[in-house]
Amino acid sequence: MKKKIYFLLICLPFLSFSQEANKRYADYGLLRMQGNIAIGTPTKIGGTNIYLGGDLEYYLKDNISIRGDFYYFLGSFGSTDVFKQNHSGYLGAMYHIPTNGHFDPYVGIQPGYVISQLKNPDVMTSDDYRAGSNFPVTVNPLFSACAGFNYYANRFFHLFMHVKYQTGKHYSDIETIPLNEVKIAFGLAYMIWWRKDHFAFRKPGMTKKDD
Amino acid sequence: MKKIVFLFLLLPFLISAQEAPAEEKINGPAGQFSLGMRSTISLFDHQSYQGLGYGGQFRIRAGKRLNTEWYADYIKTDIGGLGQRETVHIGWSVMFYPLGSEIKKGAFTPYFITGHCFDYANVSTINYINKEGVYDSDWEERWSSAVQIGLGTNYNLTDRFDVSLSAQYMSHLGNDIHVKKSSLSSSEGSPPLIIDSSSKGVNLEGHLLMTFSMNVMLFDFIQ
Repeated sequence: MKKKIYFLLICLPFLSFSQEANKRYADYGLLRMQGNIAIGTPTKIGGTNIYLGGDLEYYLKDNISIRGDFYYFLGSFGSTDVFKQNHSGYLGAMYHIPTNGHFDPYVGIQPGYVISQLKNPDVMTSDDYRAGSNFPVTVNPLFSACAGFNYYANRFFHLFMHVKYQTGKHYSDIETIPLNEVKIAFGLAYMIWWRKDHFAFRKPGMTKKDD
Repeated sequence: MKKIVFLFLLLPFLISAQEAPAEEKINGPAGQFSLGMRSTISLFDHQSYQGLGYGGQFRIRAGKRLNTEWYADYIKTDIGGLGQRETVHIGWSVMFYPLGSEIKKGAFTPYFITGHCFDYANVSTINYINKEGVYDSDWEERWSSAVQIGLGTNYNLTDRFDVSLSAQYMSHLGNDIHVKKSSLSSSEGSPPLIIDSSSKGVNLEGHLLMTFSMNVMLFDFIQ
C-alpha cells in the first residue's frame, strides 16, 4: 500500500505538468515585448549586420496577434559595410500554431520600411561592395515573412526566437542596393496580460498555485 | 365592410412594421470604421519594372454590401538599375460584396473594387557624367489622375480584424512619364535613361497593383 502511495506521490508532478501541458498558455490579451541584439545576413551582397532590435506584440485571439518590430542599425562587418544608416520598422500579423502548453510557434508577414543612407564615398575602401554616395537619407518600402517561437517559462518572462526574411531595395543616386536579408533575434522577453478588466502579470483565471 | 377597407388601408403599415427589424439588420455594418496598413506590389507596367510600396488606409462601411476605402501608397520602382520611379497614390475605392458581407471569424468575403486616385510620379536617373564632365542626374515629375478596377477578398481572422488581398489594374488619365534606355554609351556624356514626359491625354497603359492589407475595426459611427 505504502509503495502505491509513494508511487502516486512521485507521479504527482508529472500529472500536474501534464494538466498544464494540455492548457494553452497564449491567449487573448497577452501583451509581450522584447529588446535585444539582432543579427542580419544580407542574402545578395553578403556580410553581417548588427542591430538593436525590439518588438511589441498583442494577441487578439489565442492564435492571432498584431506585431510591430524595429531594428536600429548599429553597424556591419564583412563585404557589405556600405550603409551609414539602415534602420527598419515593420507592422504585421502573426498566426500562432495551436499547441498545448507554453510552447508557442508562429508564422507571419510584416510589411515595413527602411530608413537608409549610404556612406560617403570618401570613407569607402576598395574592398567595399559598391561605391558610396552623398545622397541624403531615403525611406524605402520592405516586405517580410517571419517565423519563430515563444516559450512562456513563467508569468514574467519568456524565451523567444524570431527569424525574418525581408526583401526591398535602397534607392539613391547610384544603382540600387538590394536589402534582401535574413534577420535573427533571440533571447529573453517580457509579457503582461492586458484585457478590459484585467491588467496583471498573472493570466486571468490563474492563481498562485498555477505559477 | 368599412372595417375591412380600413384593415386593407393599414396593411402597408403592418408590412412596413414587419420589415423594420430586417432593415436594421441590413444596415448593421453601415458606419463601421476600420484602420489599416497596406503593402503594394506594382507587378508590371508596360515597361515590365516591378515596384514595392507601403501605405495606410481606412475603411468606412456604407452598407451591408458596400464598403469604401480611402488610402495613400508610396511605391518605389527600380528602372533596371539606371534610375528610379517614385509614385504616390492618394485615392478612394468602392468595394462591393456580391456573395455576402458577414464579418465573422474565419470567413472570406470576396469583393469587386473600383475607384479613383490622384497620382504623383517622379522619375530620375542615377548619377552620370554629362558632356561638361560633371556629375548630373535627370528627372521629371508630374501630377495626374488614375482609375482602378479589380477583385479582392477579406479574410476575417477575428470579428474585428481582417487581412485583405486585392488585384487592381490602374489606368492613368493624364500625361505619363516614359523612360527608355539610352542608345549612347555613358562615355559620350549621355544619361543612362531618356525621360519623356511629353505624352498627354488619356493613357490606357497602366499597371497591375497587388495590395495586401491588414485592418482593425475600431468603432461604429452609427451605433
